Amino acid sequence: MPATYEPIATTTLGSAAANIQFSTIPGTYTDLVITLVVNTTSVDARIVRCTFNGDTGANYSATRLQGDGAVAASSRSTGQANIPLTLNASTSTTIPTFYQFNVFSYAGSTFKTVLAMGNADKNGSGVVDRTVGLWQSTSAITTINITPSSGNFNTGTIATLYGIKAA
Amino acid sequence: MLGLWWARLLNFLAAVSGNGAGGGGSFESIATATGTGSSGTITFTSIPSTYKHLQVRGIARGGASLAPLYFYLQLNSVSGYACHHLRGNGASVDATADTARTYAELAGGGADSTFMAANIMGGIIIDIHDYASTTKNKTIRCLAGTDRNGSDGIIALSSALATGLGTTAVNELKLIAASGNWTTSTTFALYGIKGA
Amino acid sequence: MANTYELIASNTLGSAAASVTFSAIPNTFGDLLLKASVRSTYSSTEDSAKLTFNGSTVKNYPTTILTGTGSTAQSSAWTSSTFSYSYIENCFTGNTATANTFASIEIYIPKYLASANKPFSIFDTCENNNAAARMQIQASQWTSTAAITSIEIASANVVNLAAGSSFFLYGIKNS
Repeated sequence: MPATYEPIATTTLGSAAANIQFSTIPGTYTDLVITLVVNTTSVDARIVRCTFNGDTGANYSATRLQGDGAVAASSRSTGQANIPLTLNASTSTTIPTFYQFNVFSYAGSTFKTVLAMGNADKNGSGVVDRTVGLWQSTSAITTINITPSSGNFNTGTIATLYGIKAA
Repeated sequence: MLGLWWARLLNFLAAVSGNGAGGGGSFESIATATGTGSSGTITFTSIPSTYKHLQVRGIARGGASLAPLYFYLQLNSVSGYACHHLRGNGASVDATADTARTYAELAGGGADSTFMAANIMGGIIIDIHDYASTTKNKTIRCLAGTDRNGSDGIIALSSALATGLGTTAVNELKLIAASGNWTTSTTFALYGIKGA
Repeated sequence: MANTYELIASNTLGSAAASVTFSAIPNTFGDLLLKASVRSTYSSTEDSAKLTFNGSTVKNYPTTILTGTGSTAQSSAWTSSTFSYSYIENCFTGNTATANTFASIEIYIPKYLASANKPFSIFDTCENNNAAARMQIQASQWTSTAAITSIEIASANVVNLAAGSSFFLYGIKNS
């Protein structure tokens, strides 16, 4: 029987990679939490995105609340091939950035809702945001892929997948 | 109403057996509740005072809910809350305040079953620190959002001060749909976070 | 089984104090999470915080902020050359706010042991039964490659943290 809050897997990149994947995710938890510290990316100012179960169809969307250090704004993405978890211009080639996203009732039979936080301070040119994402599928999530919008996550990028089990 | 005795018994047995079930250290599951389709209220009662903080996590879908997709929280069946929001609808952002609400109005999590496609659910995380304190007023902090692959999605930060509760410890928590009933796909889980 | 989410230490002030420090933070976790409920003796409805790591007062604490004031949504940023601590503006309830009311603050510090700069997130609400109460999220950094071994929280206006303010530091394991 799983604990209430438990790490399922951790990936630490020993070399640059275009993708971080968590697969064969057990269906025994209630929610998933992914914590991601992007050491840097090979291309500056990339969006961090996720897909589920290898689905790259236009089945994803998101609504975002963001601040870039000067302007508070909101934006949305519809009919996407992934959930863009952060605002554009988020990652950096020189500064680590931090993301955490919650996937609710990931093994349930409704569409999948994600709440994400993006923390990408870049010493005056960064962004802080909160995003709600939607995957229009009633399938249980067994695989999560996390990618930058182009280029690679560099060495030292760490992602941990946690399961939260309700009573 | 939801009795919590069985959840506490399971946690105790898990701790004794040492297999960690129901544990995870300081973060423990207290109870789970699901919508019935015939009620707009989900209630957690007899909340033990043995934790330091509470967290509610859930997916929700109710009846008609005007933007910004409000849902309500009520502590100990008490009225009187000062509420604040910071929210984005995909096109604009705003910040609002109302210091005289009946319930704690929390934005973003109340997916609307009247115009949102089936299976779209709001995602909700609510935190209450020092909920069992008898010397502090209770502050509710919430991140919630619903996206519908188009307009009228909401992502919001909300906070509320339970002015009507005073310094009384929280022992009951209600989640109330803005209108209509919580669907049977609505689920809330209550977690306790230990302070010792 | 090792506990994933575990209380490291707590401090609830029985009387006013200038600061709260968590020291000798063990190196056995992956991330840190600080939950706090705070009021200060500053003569206003709100007070600002300063957070320092390892006692460092080097100016390397930049931050990007999104704030709601109850009527206005705004974003601002401080570069690393501005403060010698992590500045969290108007996040503590001040002395003239509604009695018995404390701000709710959560700070998540991932990979606090990594030999890289330390990004971290802040979500705070300074409810005070006032229409102008502040709520904000911050993307912050400590631009140091040192492992975090201590965290100090104090008022940026150099007043006391009020009695009843409580601080709980949790460690979260990655495996």
